[in-house]
Amino acid sequence: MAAAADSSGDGGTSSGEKTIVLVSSDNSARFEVREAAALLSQTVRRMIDEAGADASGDGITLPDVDAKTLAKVLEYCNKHAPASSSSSAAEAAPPAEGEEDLERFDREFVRVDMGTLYSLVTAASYLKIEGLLNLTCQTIADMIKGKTPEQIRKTLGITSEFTPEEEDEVRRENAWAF
Amino acid sequence: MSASGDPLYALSAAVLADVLGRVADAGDIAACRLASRALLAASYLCPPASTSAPPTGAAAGARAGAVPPRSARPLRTSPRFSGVTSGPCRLTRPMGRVPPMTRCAEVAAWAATSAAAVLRELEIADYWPQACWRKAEALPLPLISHYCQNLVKLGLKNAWLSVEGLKKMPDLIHLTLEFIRLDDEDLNQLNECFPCLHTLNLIGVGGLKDPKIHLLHVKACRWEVSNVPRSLVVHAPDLVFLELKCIRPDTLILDSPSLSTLKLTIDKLGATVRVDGLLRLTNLRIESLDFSSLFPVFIDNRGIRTLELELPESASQYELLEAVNPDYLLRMLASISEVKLAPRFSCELKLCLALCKGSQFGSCLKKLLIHVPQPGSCSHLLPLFEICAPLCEVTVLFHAESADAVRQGAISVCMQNFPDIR
Repeated sequence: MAAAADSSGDGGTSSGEKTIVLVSSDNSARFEVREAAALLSQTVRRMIDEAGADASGDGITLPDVDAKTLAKVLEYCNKHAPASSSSSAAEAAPPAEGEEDLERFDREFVRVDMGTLYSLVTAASYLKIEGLLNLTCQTIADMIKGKTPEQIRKTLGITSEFTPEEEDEVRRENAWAF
Repeated sequence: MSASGDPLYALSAAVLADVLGRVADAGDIAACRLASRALLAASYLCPPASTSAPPTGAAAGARAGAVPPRSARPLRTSPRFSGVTSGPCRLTRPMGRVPPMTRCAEVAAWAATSAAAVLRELEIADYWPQACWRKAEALPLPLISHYCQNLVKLGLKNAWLSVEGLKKMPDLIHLTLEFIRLDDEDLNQLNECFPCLHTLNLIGVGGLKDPKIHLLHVKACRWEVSNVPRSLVVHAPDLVFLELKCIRPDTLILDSPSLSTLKLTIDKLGATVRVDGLLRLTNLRIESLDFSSLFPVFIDNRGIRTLELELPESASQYELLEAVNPDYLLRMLASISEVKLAPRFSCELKLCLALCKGSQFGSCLKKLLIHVPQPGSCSHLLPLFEICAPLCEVTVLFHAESADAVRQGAISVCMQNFPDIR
């Protein structure tokens, strides 16, 4: 998947806002994003701080995030990032979009297959993007509510690996709930 | 697809625990535990939380008629049975009518599983406070003592408890009984079977006759008792903190030589009081009108450093005046380093202070906190300021609706007349 790159070539958008290049785990894609969007990730923030003066223009490689997932994650970050590009403003300023618009975006954002949802929650956990982690974990939690064990397995795409004896034991331990 | 190839296995245990921590219902958590090993393991890592919400979802079928209360805030619930580390387990009986034997049967059935044997913390609460009035639904506390031998912390609420057959639980160090009818009149069984308690909370425990707390290791105790018991005895050599709320016991014995903090709410002190062992008592809170009995017993000739005074809800300023001589009160307050006068006491103090004759005596008072009722000024507090030691830190809490002018006026008067007060 190709990255959207700016034309300035000097790490800035056409509006002069600072950008950061993020590279997927398989090196197949490079994404140039606004600094404010990238810094929603505490992992990226730490990587930049640790690189310091040794930071290169080759971008920051994210070893645990493939291209498809990184594209989706950055879609979230670009939407939720604050309007200003300064790192301090990234912490304090509200996002550029209105709250209702963001909620609508979030609802649509998680309308994906379970494989993609799992990839997103894993990426959000690795990248330490709090908002995305909250959104994806809550989505999975909402899918679980009100379901029987069989329905939970079907929804989450899992198989039961309990032996009959093990299932009996777990069922007895939780008999108070059933 | 084999289990290990399930996409769920790609999620870390921490992430799964985060997901399960957001599932608000104990029944749904139980369904997850049955769904897969990964979810079962993750349920051990969920943060504990309390809930009074009834089971919903898959578990609701077993509770016909159960309706979630409208006011119940959805709380995160996680019943955890850990075989490795301690994990709290909270079982809350739902609303709805359930046959009495079901209750004993369900606790007994659960207690007999391997999960109960490894529990370290357990709380059981009935949704209905009236449950403590129904002997037919007595909780099998002896069963818990038999099967949950590793318990460190136990809390029981809204129940009638039988102690017949209760076994010793030497590992239990925290016990809370709240709104409990206890078939242990003198607390003999409690003392014998829970000998190593560090914390004991007996809140609204009924069925007592002449209760005696006799525990060698207890350090903190909260005891709220009705007017039924005529004598209250505490033998606790290691007790450091005691909060006691009672009505008017004929006999009160506190044999607690290590006690440093006592919060006492009492209508009237009885004829038989023995508190001569309280040599380390330094922090005292009294809520009562019976100051004429309480001050000589608990304050005179003791090294009290912090004192808080409050009146019962129905007390009036005339009753306070009858209860304590104003000059004696001022002299007594001046002998304490830190004094807090709680809202009702502060409010009714006005007449008392107006009748003070003089305040020419030495003072140790270094910190004073007082409330000013609305709409009042605080000119009546001047006698109180006169007993403050130099550089005394005075905090006056005005009612939220007090006018700014009143507050500013008070500060001006204070600074003009008492420049040593901070």
